[in-house]
Amino acid sequence: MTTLQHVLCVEDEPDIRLIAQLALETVGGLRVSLCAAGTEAVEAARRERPDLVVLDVMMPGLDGPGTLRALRTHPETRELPVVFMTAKVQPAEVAQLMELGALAVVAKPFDPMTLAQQLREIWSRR
Amino acid sequence: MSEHRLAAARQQLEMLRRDYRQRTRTLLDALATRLQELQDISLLDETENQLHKLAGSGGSFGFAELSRAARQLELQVRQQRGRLTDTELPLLASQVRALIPLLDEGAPQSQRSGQASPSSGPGAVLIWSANHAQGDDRLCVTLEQFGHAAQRVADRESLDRALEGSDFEALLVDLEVEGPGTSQRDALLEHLSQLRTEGPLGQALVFALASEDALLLRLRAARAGVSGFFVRPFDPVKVVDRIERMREERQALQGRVLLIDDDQLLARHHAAVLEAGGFEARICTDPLQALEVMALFHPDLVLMDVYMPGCSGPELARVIRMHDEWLATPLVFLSAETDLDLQLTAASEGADDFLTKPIADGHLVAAVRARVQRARQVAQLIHSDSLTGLLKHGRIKEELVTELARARRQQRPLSVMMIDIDRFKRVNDRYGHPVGDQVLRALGNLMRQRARKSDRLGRYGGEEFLLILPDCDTQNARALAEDIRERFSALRFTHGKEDFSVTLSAGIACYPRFEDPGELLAQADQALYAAKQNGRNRVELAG
Repeated sequence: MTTLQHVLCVEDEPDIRLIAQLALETVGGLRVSLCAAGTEAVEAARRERPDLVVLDVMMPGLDGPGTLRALRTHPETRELPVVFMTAKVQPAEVAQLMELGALAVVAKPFDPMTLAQQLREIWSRR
Repeated sequence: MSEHRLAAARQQLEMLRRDYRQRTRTLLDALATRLQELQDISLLDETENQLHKLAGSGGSFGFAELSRAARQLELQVRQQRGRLTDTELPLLASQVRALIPLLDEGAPQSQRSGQASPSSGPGAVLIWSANHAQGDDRLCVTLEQFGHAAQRVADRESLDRALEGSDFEALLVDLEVEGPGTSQRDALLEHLSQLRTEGPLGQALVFALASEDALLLRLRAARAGVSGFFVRPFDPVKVVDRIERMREERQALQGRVLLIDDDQLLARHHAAVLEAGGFEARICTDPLQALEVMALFHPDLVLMDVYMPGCSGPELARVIRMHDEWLATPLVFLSAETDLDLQLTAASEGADDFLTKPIADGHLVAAVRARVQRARQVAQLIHSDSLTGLLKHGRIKEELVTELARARRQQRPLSVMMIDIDRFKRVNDRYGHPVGDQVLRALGNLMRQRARKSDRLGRYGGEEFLLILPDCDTQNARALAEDIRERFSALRFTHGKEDFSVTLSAGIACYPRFEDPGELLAQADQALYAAKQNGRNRVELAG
């Protein structure tokens, strides 16, 4: 698959889920699956088979990094590319997140008019 | 992306935005109330979480300022952990509450009508002083009232972290924060110099807060890069005023340039060159759109091509000059035409200068800079009230005519707000005119910060102000008026040992309810009168 078509968004805040859907589906023309908790992400990923997973970092229960680790332990989702989304974008924090094996770190708040394009660019560089 | 999908997206976004605004307002209000009334220190956790969420979401819904301010406050709360006592919760409550106006339609970051959003609004301020330092809490509250997110740190480590974490507009340093002795003060100043040269300070202003006034101390502070010096007990409003003045001065070096050229590629190149030179540039490729763009952008200089389809440069220049408000704006032709006769004709058509393409980047910037500086100085002299920097009486009335005509053409609402300071005579009589001037300046600054860039602000009379709000209906005008009214009444002015506060009354009239300038002014005036009759410190709507 050379173009990005289907994204799974894991985000606990309903506000952000809605606007991410707007950004990726309506503006970006991508297929979007939504998931409200890290604990459901693995199941959702297996079921929906997205090309890319966007993970919020700060979530109650299983956080972003924890979710990534969970995805990596299952054979079906081990190779799934992941992008983190976070309001903390200090160089040290970003480096830490990248070291976990994410494709990229996207800053919050994101611009709903350009998020899809951003993800496409990240995807094309992978 | 298809036009249709784009339109659908914008519509959905607007709906989401409205929901977000409503929910967030309620949330912040509830949180602030609980912080104030319950005085429960365990609320800090929840407060920090909420602020973190706001920081990460606000901007996505178009509330960039909210995101920024929430982030600042979040960092502050985190740093104050363990040291914050119950009695300091009300201050935090008011800081949380101060976030609410950032959700308003009339708030500075509103992006309607294709106008440029101000990137030059009030920035965050960092205060480095001991926790018990007298008056610094009030300083924070005053700063917040003027839209500056305020953060306090008490030691070098916290200072460094804060500077690393964000950009600040100003750093206020208590010269005795590391101890009262001369050697400690000198070490502190040395550290400030280092911060400046090593970069963490960025473009931030540095002000000193001192317990005594001595020339040598001021000199040492100046050497360390300090540009403001306030002796305790100082008037926090004066500190804010200083920050405003210095920002104005810095911004005066920039300028807005409008490029009118049907050659998009070249226009973009010139725009990039000018932006690199410190200007704010906008491109208009259709000369027929020029007047609309000018009305929104208010350029300090217009650079236009001579040969364009539909309308030549000289023709456009003549049309522009027909409008009073553009009589003083420099118009410069940029063309490949090397014919001297044509250049001279162009000059007589209302152009001020003729530059030939291709033009070297450096030449372009230099030519524009000289013209813009001059034009601004002249415009300021002619149009602005010297005390407040706002437009003069005659000028603001002219602007009303212009903006109303535009509102009519575009079928958009327009609001007129008349503000009058309550019992101003008493302020002058009791505290003297210099203090009265301070109050006037403070209100001017406040209005400038809370209004949008496209709003026209004027000093109408001694203590009377007139605001013209294009593309603004009754509800939004009222919200802005209440915002300004509340913030103004919360300001504390000082005279010697005495503290006092001042209130204002406001009257609002809107188009299309009222149709011509005279009527709008009369109705706004009547509404203002009603506000005074009904007890002052309030806002009334006309009709």
